[in-house]
Amino acid sequence: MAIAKMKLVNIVGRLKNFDTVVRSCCLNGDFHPEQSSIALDDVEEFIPIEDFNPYTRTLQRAVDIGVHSDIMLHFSSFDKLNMSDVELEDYIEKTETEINVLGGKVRDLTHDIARLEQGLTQLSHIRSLKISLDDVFSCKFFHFRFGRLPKDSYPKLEICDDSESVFFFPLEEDKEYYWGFYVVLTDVCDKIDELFTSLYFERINILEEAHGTPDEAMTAIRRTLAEKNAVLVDAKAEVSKYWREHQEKFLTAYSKIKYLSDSFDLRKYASKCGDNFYVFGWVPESGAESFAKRFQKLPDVDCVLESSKEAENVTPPTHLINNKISKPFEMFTGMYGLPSYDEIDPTSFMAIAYTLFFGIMFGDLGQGLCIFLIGLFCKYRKMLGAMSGILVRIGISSAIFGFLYNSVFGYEGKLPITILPVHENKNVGILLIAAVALGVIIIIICMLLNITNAIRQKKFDKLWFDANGVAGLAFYVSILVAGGLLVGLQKNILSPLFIAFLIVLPLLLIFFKEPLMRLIERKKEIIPGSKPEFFMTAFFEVFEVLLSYMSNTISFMRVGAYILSHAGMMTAVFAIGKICGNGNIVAVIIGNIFVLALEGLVVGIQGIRLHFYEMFSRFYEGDGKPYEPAKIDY
Amino acid sequence: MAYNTGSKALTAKVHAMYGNKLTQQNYRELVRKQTVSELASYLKQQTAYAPLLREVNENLVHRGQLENILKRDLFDQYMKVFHYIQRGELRFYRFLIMKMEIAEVLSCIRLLNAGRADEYLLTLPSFFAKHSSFDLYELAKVKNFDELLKLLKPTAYYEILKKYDPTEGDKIDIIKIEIEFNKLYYSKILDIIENTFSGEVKTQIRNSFGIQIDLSNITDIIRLKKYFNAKSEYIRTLLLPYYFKVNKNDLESIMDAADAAGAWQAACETYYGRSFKKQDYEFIENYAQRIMFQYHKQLFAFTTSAPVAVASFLQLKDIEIQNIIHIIEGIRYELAPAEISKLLVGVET
Repeated sequence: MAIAKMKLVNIVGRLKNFDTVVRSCCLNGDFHPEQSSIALDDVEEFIPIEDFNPYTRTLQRAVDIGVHSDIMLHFSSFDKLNMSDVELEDYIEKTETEINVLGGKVRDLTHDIARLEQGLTQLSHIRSLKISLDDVFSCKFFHFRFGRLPKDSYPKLEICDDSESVFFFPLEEDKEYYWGFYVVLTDVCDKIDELFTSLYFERINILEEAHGTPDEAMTAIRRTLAEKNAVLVDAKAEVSKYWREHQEKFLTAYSKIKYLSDSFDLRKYASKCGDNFYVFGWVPESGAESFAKRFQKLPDVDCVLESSKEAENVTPPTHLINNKISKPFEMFTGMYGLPSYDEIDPTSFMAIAYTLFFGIMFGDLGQGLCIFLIGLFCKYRKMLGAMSGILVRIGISSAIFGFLYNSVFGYEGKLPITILPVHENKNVGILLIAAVALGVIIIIICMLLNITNAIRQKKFDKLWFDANGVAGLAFYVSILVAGGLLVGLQKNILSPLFIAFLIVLPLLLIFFKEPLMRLIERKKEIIPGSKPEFFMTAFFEVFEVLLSYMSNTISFMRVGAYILSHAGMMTAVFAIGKICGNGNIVAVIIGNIFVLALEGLVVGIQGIRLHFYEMFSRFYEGDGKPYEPAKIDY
Repeated sequence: MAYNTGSKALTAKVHAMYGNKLTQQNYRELVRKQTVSELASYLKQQTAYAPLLREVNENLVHRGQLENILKRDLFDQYMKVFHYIQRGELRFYRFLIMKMEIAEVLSCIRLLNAGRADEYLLTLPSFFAKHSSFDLYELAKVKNFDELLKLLKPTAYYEILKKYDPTEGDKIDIIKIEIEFNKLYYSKILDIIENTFSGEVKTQIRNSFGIQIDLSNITDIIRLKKYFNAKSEYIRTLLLPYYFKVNKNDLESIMDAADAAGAWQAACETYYGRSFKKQDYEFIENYAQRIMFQYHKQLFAFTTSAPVAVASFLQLKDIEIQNIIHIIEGIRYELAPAEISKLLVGVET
């Protein structure tokens, strides 16, 4: 489990072999490239490679074709494809031209149809006109203007100066406008047109294809529309036919171009010096040797391996390897952040703790099995991703605890024995105290994890003086032991020595964490800046630490509380069932589904909260770099 | 008096109507539009003007049409108020109608002076036609001053207009007429306020109109000094004889200043001075509007009195419409968004 060990790989070779190197070794493998400038920034002879990618344009055209034609671009094996770069370019160009021709036909038809449909709508507004449009438009001395006039403007027509030359006929009205037309003598038409424009008349242009009365015209146009639609269907079918025949080859060509282009792009990670290139990156330790072997066949190329400790100024990426049981929980830890390379991967810990918490809080045999089955179903149907795996695990856990609590679909006592009688009223106090005790154990484990991390990272202050380090652990455990003995056994072990060494001393170490560290590192000023400010800040920090010990511990009481609330909700469901008619089974089923969803969601979120806030904050930094091996994303 | 509170339903209604105002985000988007069509489209899709603009074709709409629609909306909202008021309050609530009538008569006179009387018809707000005390369509037919006088004989405007009948060939003295009309309007409204309301409500409504008067006076003095180099004696005849937050002496000292800049300095010493940005008086109208906006926004937020709410709401809504019109003009003159934003009132950018 945990984080894969990485080895640093340095590759040097002749520039002319760069492409071969990249293609044969670095793609679709385990190689996580780093910017070479990081390692080389003090070596002046090396400059970054900034070549122009010759494949970009062709690739862009291919992608455009795919997007415009609604083709899902994906990988298609091009091993058998025997085209040179120039041939590929020509092929893509040819495809583009052919597609444009076919597509153009579809476009023009669609445009035409839209135009006719709009014209049809306009004609529908004037259909009450029973004169032939041909007659109307062939008048020599009159002009007819069709359109709509705002209702506000209509009363003004009678008053205006040219009212005797103005003849407006409304044909249809809606809320704001009159649809209609006005007639104007040819010799005054400019003036009247201007008048109507000032009154906000909107003119519509009647379709050329409209003949006869508007009604007749509409019928004719509808016929034309039907014909054009049929032609459109044919044109679209032609496009589909083209793709059916050519899609495979196109995708193959696309895949090859993408491969060539992306492998060329890897140059951005490399540097060159004269005739040579240099590139470096990370490979998991397990595959490092076989990776290096690939280069032995290539002349003029060298590959050197280093361990992560030797490469000081580069952080290795974090590659999580978890066994099958813990793997779904990577989603949760990923939410908080990837572990740094030198941290413990908390995924396994979370897998156990989260499953446990959920099982404890949710504890119902029947509902647990339901969750388990839902998880299996989702996994089978590949829905919900990692969540399905989590559902399976927490379902089993809930079922187990449900068995222990003797709770099946909310009914208690159906099983012959109750191993953990959590639902009896007299046990409430014990339950809550047990929950807090669980919390204490968890917090202590988290502190131990933090100490382990500190040892690994060789951070002295984090190990000894941290609130979650040895000092904090000592303080926390001492207080608990003393308090527990006092309350439980009435035994007072709070001797002055005890208090001095196990309570006051750790607190002082925490208070003076920074100055102590500076002292050890032999820095000049132990307390930099203003001393009163330091004391104030430190005081509040220690106060906060004490507060968080208390609050985080008590916070775990919710684990017990949710057991009770689950039982409470089921009691409510049964009460409703009784109201609906003596244990109405439908009400109970619906109630169960509702409680399953609601309680499941709440408990799930509370579990995450406990992990992220009470637990991870004690030891987990989560600022790791993701492991992203170079590969082509088709 | 009972009219102080007015109908609680009306207060609630007005607050609800105000809730539909344009937000800061709306303004930010609007100043970035490149054409009137885009602006219309945005208003249609993203703001409370959507139902109003539903039938409008944003690609063809003319800015005049758009402005007309906005003004009509304000008027429609104003008309809704009348459902809620009692007879005794009617005189007060008709203040906007009177204001609009005056605006229409002045508009007609301006066009008469320019020899373009026939254009009045095009800008005539049809939605207002049936509410005015005289026939607006008849006003559109007026071709000269005599016809105007004849039309307005039954109204209170007649006595004023009679005094300014121009001799043959002269222009109508619109400046004096406008002042007289304003005096008439304010004297009427202040009188109505005096008789309809009492106490705190009376003070607030009086102040609402009073601030308009004060700012109008200050703005006029500065404008007259700047563009006409007018003397104090002349300016005095054009001011509204009401004083609220600036008293007579303050106005005198502004009038007595040597030039526009001096007048501006004097204005900055008054009650309103704290809202003026001392550097430039170019934007005095903008500052005046901002003061109006701030005052009425605050008044509106805290009042439970219907007439106060209505008066404030109409001011705020008017400012919003002015803002939209400024943006439209800014778009047509291709101003940068930052430039347009400077002209807006009540908008933080």
